[in-house]
Amino acid sequence: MVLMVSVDAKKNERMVKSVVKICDRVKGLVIVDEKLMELVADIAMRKGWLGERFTVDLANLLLREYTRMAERWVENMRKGFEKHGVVFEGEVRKGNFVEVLVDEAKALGVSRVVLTYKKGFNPYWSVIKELVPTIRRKLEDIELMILV
Amino acid sequence: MNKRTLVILTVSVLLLCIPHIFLPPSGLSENGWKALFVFAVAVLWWISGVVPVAVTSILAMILLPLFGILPLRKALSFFGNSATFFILGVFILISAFNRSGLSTRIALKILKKLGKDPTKLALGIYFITMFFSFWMVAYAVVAMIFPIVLRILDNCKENDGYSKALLMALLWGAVIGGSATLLGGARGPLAVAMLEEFTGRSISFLKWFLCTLPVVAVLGLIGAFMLTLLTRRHRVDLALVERQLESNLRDLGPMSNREKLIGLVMMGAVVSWMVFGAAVGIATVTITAVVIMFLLGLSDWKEVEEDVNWGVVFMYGGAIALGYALNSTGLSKWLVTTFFTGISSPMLILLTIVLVSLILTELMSNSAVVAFTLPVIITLHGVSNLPPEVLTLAVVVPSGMAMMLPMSTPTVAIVLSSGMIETKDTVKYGAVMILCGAIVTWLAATFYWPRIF
Repeated sequence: MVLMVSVDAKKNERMVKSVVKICDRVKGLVIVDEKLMELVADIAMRKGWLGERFTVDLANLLLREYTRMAERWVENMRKGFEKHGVVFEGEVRKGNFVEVLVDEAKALGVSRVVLTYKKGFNPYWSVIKELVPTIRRKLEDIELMILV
Repeated sequence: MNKRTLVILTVSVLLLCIPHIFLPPSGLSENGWKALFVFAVAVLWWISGVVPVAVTSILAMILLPLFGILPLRKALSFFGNSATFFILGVFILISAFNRSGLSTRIALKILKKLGKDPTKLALGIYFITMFFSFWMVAYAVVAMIFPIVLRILDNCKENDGYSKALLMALLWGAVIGGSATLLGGARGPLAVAMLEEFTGRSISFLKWFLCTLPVVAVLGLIGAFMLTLLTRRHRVDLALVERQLESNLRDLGPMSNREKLIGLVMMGAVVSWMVFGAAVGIATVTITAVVIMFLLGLSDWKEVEEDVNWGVVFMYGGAIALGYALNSTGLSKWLVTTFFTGISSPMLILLTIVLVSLILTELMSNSAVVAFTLPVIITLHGVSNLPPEVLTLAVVVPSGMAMMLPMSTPTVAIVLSSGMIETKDTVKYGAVMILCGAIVTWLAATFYWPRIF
C-alpha cells in the first residue's frame, strides 16, 4: 500500500499510471492546512502593494476553493484508479500538513509516501517544497517519493 | 539563508567591489562607474526577488550615500516625492471604496443583467474589471471581482473551458484597464515622478488618459473578440448563477449612505484629477479626497492600516533616488551612447523600447521594469528628438501588459492560484494579446503620442 498525498488537489493521469506500477492499493489524501493557505495567498499577492487584509481574504477564499477541489480530486482519483483495477480510498483532512501526513503514514504502516503536484506556477508546491526535508526526517524509514 | 540567496549575495558583494578595484571606462565619471554597479546589484535583486522590491529600494538608498554618489540628505529627500503621496492616497481611497461594498454592488448589478448568456456574462466580467481598473489599482480590482467569479463558477455546471474563459476575462480586463489612467498601478505615478525629476516636464492626468485611451480601446475590443470566440462554443446552464447573483445583491441590502457618499467623493476626485490635476498637482487632489473621506467618517484609520502596504513608500523613494543617481552621474547618457549607437530611427527606438518593456515585465514586477529602464530610456530624448513624455509612455504602457507569467503582477498570480487555469493557458492566449498590445502601443507611440506633446 502507498500513501498518495496531493499537494495541489490537481488530477493528473500520468501520476495515476506511475502509482499503479508500484502498488495495488492506494490511500489518497489531501490535507487542508489553513496556515499553508495563508502562505499561498502571500505568494500570489507578493508583487503588489495591497495590505494584509487582501492576503487574508484571498487565503480564506482559496481555502474554500481548495476544499472543494480536494473533494473532487478524491472522486476523480477513485475513478482513475478503478480503471486500472487498483483499490483507492480517498480522504480530505484538515490540520497541519506535516503532522497529518506523518501520522497517517505511520498509522497505515506504509513503506512509501508519494507527494504529487502539477508543474508550472504552483504556489502550493512552492510552500510545500520548503517542508520536504522536515517530512523526510519525520518519516524516518518510510520512503518519500515526489511525482510531478 | 538558502543557497540561492547566498549566491546572489556573493555576486552582489563582488559586483560592488569592482568599481573600487578597476578604473572607469573612458567617458564615464568615477561616480557614474560606482552608480553602474549599485544599479547592477539593484537589478539583480529586483529580478531575482531575493528580497521584497521595497527592500531592494532601501538598499539602493543606502548604497548611494555610502559610495559617495549622492549625499544622504539628497537620497532620503526622494521619500517626500509627490508621487509617493499620490499613490498612498489612491490606496487609502481604494480601501474606503472596497470596504463600503459599493464596488461589489455595482459589479453584481451589471452581472445580474448580463448573467443569462455565457458570452455576455464573460464580457460583463471583462468590461467591469476593465472599467474599475481605470479608477483603482488593477490587482485590487481583481482581488474584489475574483470571489464573485469563483462563486459564479461554483454555480456553473462543471465546464473547464468556460471556467478558463471567465478567469481570462478577469485577467485581461484588469491588465488592459490598468493602463488607462495613473490610478491603474504603481508604475504610472512612479514614471511621472521620474520624468519630473529628470527633465522638469510632466504628464497631466488628462493627457495620460488621452494618450492611453485609444490603446486601451483597441486592445479592449480585441480582447472582447477573443473572449467571444472562447465562450460561444460553451453551453452553460446559468440558472443557478442568476439566482446566486440575485441572492448576493439581496444580502448587500439597500444602498447605504456611506456607499452614496463614497461614490460622490470618488467621482469628485476623478473630475478634479482631470480638471485641476495639472494646476494643483494630482497628489494634492488625492490627499484632499482622503481628508474629506475621514472628515465625513467614510474611512477608518485601522482599516487603512490593514489595506495599505506601506512598503510602496520605500519602493518609490529608492527607485527615484537610484534613477536620479543614474542621471546626475552621467551614467544614463553613457549607457545610451554605448548601447544605442547606430539606432537613430525614432520608430526603431520606440519598437525596441516597447519590446524590451514587454519582455521584461513578464519576468519581474512592472514597477521594477519602470524603475530600472526609465532613467536610461529618458536619456534617449537627447539622441532621438523624441519627447521624453513619449519615451516614458513607451516604457510604462507595455510594462503594464503582463498577461502570461505570475512573476510580474498579482493579477496573473491571483488568477492562477485558483487552480482552474494553468500557466500554459495564460501563455497561450496571453501571447496573442501581448503581440497585439506591442503593435498597438508602438503605433500609438510613433504616430499619436508625439502629436499630444
